[in-house]
Amino acid sequence: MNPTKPRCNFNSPSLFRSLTKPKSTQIQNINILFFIFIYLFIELMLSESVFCLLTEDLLIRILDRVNSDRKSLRLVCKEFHRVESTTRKTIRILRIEFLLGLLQKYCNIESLDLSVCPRIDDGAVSVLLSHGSVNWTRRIKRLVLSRATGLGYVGLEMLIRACPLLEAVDVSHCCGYGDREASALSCAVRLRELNMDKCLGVTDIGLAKIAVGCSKLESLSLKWCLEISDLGIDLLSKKCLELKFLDVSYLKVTSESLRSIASLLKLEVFIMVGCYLVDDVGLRFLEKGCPLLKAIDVSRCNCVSPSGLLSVISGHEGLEQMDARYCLSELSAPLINGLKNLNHLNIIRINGVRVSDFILQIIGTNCKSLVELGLSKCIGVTNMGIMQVVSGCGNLKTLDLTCCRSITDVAISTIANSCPNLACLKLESCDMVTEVGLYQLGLSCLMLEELDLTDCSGVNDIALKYISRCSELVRLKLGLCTNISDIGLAHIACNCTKLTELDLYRCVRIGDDGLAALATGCNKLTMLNLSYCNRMTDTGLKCISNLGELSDLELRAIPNITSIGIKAVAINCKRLANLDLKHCEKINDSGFWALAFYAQNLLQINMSYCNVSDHVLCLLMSNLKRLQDAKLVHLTNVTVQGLELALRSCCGRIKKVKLQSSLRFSISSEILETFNARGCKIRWD
Amino acid sequence: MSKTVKDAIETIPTDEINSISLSLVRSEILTKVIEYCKKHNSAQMSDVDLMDWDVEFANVHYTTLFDLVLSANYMNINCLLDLVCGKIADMIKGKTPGEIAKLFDIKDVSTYEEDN
Repeated sequence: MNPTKPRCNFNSPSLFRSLTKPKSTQIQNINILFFIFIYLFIELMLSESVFCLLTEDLLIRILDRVNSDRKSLRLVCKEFHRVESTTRKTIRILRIEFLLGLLQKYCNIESLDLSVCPRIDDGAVSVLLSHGSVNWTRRIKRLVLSRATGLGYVGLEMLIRACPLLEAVDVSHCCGYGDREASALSCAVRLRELNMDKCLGVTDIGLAKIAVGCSKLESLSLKWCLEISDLGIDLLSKKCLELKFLDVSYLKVTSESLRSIASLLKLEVFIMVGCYLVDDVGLRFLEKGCPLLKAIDVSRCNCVSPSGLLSVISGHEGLEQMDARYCLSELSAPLINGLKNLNHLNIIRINGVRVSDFILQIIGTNCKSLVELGLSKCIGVTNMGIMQVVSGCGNLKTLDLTCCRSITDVAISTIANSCPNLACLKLESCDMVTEVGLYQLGLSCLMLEELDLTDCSGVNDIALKYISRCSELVRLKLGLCTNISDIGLAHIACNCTKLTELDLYRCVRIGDDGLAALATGCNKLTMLNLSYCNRMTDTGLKCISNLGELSDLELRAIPNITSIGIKAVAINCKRLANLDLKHCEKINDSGFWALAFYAQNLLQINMSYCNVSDHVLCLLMSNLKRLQDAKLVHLTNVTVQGLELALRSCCGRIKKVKLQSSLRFSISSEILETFNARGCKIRWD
Repeated sequence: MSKTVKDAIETIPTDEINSISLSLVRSEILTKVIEYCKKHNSAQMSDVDLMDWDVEFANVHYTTLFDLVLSANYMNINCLLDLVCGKIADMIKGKTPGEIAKLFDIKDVSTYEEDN
């Protein structure tokens, strides 16, 4: 029995096929009518977008590739919004009022960031978790609670117990956290990453609880947890054998800890910045231990000498990253010899050390895979030395020569010619560098993204013209370059369209014209420092207000700007988060009123020495719901009562306030106590 | 390359295969898909050239792109699907909601209040 043969069916359901060409002129008119009819029919069909033909899984596939623009996609139509809601993986909450609603809408999130949400406390968490369906917690893998000082151990434990898949937690800078909070953290059995920087209250007991409870821990950061001692580290090394990343910076641990740490067989990155009780004996333990060690940081450890560092190097020829900033005074001969064997070294940072041409030559000859070299504030860096390093290390991407004052244009030209992939070059205070060297840089290093020329008095408008050829430039620092003017700035504005950070601190010859050019050319700017640029007026400020992405703006001591300019900035720069107006004495109430009303995203403000009155200050502090740091030193028109009222209105939200010390005994102690209780720091100038 | 075709070949006994039914794929689109498969199966071109060819291939009107997505999905060709989805994603990146709606002729645009 022959089964029916399947037909080859390249079928074409398309209506285009039905548009037959006119066969003869006789029936042409009828065909034209037919044509028009079909055309209208097609129009009707196509009025429903092709997007609707895509099934949901295909939409999700496309969405996965659109990472940064999900917000735009979400707003296009209801269908996209629904798909985006179900696939959204991370969320960062800015206002607590929306927390519950958002979490119920996005129930598949994996990462929750509450670090910039003010007033997260035990009560809020309790409400969140008790309210109806809590299925938003089931997929959470990462919790960011950095600086959430209001959350206590009860709330923390509730939150952690509710998230069974939790793998990463960040509670850094919650300065009040101690052993009870550590105990809450130890409930997260699957925890792999934990950041407890600056949890000042955690002691060995808390660390022990975590070590016992979270045995799968791979990454742990304990910077500044000053109460931890050798005992805690010892227990940690015995229990958390999977550790790959450990940061014990600034702890009061001794060399005994290093004996324990050496037994961590999987450790790859070990950071011990500022451990002043650790010496060479400790580093000698590391020589035979931690076989997989790839990166070590012994910066600012005063008792470490070159022989200690040599022990670490001799044991680990696969070392990729070596940081010894500000701890050695010079490199001994055996250490230099030891460097010859480190052929895999990618990053060397030896800031503050005395180097010589010979040392730099050794590095250039042996460390061929070097990608980053830090020689900031090193003594003895000369043109010859630099030339020898860069001619050997052609893959260099980051070079830090801050305060290497003997560097001249010769070295810069060699750097430019040898390292075409250079992305970051720091030349702060290298005042012998002029437009001659920078000409070469602009010619050869077209991948340059970051350039620091702070305090380089040799930089002038022509130099800026040459630098502007690096069109990938993202961060440019020209602070204290007093020889540049609007002409140079215009060159930068024309060609460096990707610029996001620009520092023009004390560039006194910059005026409104340069700023107008900047506003049109560099519309992606997010950070701009114009402090002490005293030629600037309101016209310039109005141009700046056209920068829609601006988030950090420093305008210290600019005498000619008034409320008109500030109003423009407040209304147009919707993302403004950090504003510094110290000593801008011509700004009066109407400017601050505009800020209070429009600048809703403001996180930090410096209004010291400004002319604001009682009621506008109160309005400002109460209206800006996201404000976390306010500097209010010497507000001459504000009375003590006015200041107290303003402080009371922002009490629960704000985290840091700076006031002049003469008011320390005038402000009521009740306010000071409330602030203390709510976790807000008052600093006295 | 196409899992659907592969499955079809494997399920039907070899000596009886005359044709495989692909009812959801239009002829113009099938031509393009065949072109893609031929190019990727031939070992002539280097990886870089192949990537350039892919970019050229995907540089078509969005309606064709969508047809390609549907066809690649139906015929289960993962690399083509990734290529075309990536191209559509690139077309979406960097645009405002209004521009996206205009580009893809989406009519039921609703303005949603955003919380964050």
